[in-house]
Amino acid sequence: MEDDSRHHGRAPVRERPEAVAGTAETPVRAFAAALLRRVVGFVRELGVAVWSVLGGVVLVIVVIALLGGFAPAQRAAAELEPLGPGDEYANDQLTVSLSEAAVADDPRVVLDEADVLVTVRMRIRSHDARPLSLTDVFGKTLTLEGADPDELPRMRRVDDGSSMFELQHELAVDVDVSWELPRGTIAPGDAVRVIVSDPFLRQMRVLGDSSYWTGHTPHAVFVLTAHEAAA
Amino acid sequence: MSSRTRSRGTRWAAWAGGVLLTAAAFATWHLTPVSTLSYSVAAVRYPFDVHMAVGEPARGRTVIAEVEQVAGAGEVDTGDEVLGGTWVVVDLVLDATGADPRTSLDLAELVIGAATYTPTERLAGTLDGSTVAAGLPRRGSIVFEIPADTAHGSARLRIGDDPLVRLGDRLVLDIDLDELDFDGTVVVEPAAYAEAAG
Repeated sequence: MEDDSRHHGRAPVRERPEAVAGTAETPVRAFAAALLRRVVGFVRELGVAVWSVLGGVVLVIVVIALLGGFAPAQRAAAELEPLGPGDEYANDQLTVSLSEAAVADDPRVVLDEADVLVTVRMRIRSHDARPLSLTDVFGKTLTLEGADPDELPRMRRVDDGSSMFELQHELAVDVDVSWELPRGTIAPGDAVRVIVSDPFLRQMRVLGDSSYWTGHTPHAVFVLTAHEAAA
Repeated sequence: MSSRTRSRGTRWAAWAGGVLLTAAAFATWHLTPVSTLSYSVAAVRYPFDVHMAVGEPARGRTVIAEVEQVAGAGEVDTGDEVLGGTWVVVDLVLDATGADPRTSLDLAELVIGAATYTPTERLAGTLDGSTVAAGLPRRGSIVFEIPADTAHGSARLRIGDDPLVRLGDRLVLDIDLDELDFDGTVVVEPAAYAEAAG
């Protein structure tokens, strides 16, 4: 705009600070209005479906956050639930109850004379729809503290003494499970600790139809006082 | 109704149908017992079922079997000992066709609902796991111990040789457990050679 003070021979009028501020406001408003128009256009352009999906995702994230899903992972080992003789523990794989523990140091009952035999009597019932192998239970779901988890114990039925290698679905059996431990690590009167872990069944359903137990998480511990095995 | 309204309605119906079908597939996937799944890639190698009837010989690719009797029992008597429990005892004569030079009864299972039972480990000398040669049939028993509360309804016996052979076959027998008496004692004799069928 031309300054008309020159045409009338008057000294130029100095603009007051308020007037300067007033003229600066207009481009800001114009910019804001243009920005708003662009945003509204963008929102409209994406359409209801996209915004609904985005809203759903945000909602899911909010729900996860409210439920504590983004809390720092609890990496410390959980305290094991203490169990005693006669208590029953159940998980997805089995239900087990331990009644007594015995230690035998008779060299005739162990494979290695440097070992003692720890025998735990238990009632065990498998929930697996397929026969559950000994290898899926001992050293994984049921672990004797101090024993090598890779060495399988012996399992015998209490009623007829027959060896067992598989547990049938929901067929409860009373068994004696025997581990060999180095002589001197346990004696009559000591505590025998059997740790129970919770596994989950992973099932292959598309590329195969096999299934296996995995993800064993320690959850409880049976503590029994060992007595001396009868001769 | 305008075409725009109609197309919007169709779009919503398609979305709703898609969500419904996904939910139905999810529910079917999780509710179907694993033992009855038949849509995995592994299904292409499942063995063919050859159905048996009691008293009639059934012929698979490698095994010929004739189930003579199916009995329930509350005790099995081996001659040396009497074992308590809830038992399903299948007496049969087993022969080989000669298609394979060596045939053994590696598959023996009893399916009740979604659960699969394998022969008991408490008895020795039963037919499961035994080897047969063509023309030298063996007579014996396959014995299953099952929980007492599952001894009702229908069950299916499956027997055969190597269950891992692709596109092999297995002999199956449907059993009505309600027809069996689980109170008595059944004598189980060790497997032995039987006379060849004429």
